[in-house]
Amino acid sequence: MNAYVAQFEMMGTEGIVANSPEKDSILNMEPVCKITFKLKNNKTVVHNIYPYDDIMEETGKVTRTQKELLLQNRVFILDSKNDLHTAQKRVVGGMFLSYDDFFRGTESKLVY
Amino acid sequence: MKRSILLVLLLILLSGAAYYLVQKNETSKKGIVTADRGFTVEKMEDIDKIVIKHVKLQPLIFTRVGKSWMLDGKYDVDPAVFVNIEKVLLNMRLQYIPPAASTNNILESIKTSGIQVDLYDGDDLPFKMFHIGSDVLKGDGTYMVMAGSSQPYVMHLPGLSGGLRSRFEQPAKNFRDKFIYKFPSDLIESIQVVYPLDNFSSFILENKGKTFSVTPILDLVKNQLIQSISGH
Repeated sequence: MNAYVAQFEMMGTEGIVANSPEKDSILNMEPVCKITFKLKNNKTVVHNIYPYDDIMEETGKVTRTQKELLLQNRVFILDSKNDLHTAQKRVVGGMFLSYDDFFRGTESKLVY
Repeated sequence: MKRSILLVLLLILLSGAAYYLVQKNETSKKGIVTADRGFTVEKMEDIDKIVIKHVKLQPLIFTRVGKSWMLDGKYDVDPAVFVNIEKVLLNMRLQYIPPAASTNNILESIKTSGIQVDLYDGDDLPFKMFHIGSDVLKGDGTYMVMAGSSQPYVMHLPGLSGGLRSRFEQPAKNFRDKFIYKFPSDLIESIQVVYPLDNFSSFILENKGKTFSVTPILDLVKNQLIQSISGH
């Protein structure tokens, strides 16, 4: 659990998507994952995650579950400032655990 | 004899005066050139704001906040990208003075597609302004001219074979910090991870002081429902 939390001390994305034609349609989609941080300084940070491969590579798949999300090579992350980032799974994939993963000796799962 | 001595003294006096005048002229010429080449600063702490204006891109305004920089007053700056600007402002050197015949073309090109760089040190007016033109044909230097001057110079970074223009010709998003999370564990009260179409996998982690507890979202929803029903 501590390893899971520790990864948020510093995690970066690949880049910011400024003017992608896909941006509007991505923002109209239901996110596959929604991560909400409540911080002790009374700030709340919400990030929505969208499947990159489904959208950009037109695989025809529709990612719905946590396990399916882990099959993506990249994800889109919409941050609290409404900026859309792209991120590689090997960098941010450790965020996408399921409840059960915490009881499976998941320390190794955090490394991609 | 007396006459000869007088003539020699006069000759020495005139030679001295001529030497003084030549030296003075050279020093003043050198002074102009030095001023024109003064694109750099000694240390980044001398600058508290940098404005980069490009004809085709939105202006970039970097403001110093402590040891780091903010972009447009709202975004953290990626130090790994900003260091490219810092290196130029601190270390660029004159490579050569372009031939006088090409001066007009260089100035004209700067006028149409130049990048203006303004450096501030706390005042409303910049203490240094210069314009960046294109890279030279060989690609190992960049035309630059100080504001108010008509003498362009080719500037470069010693040890680097590329031009300098591209470092200033980046859209704002490239300068922004790409870190989305910088949360020390003790700052986090809770992390809720919800998969909207996969409730069994969703969970919430809560800070319990020395450790975190994890609860399935379904339990949380169930408890809220029970509380809501018992309330009625």
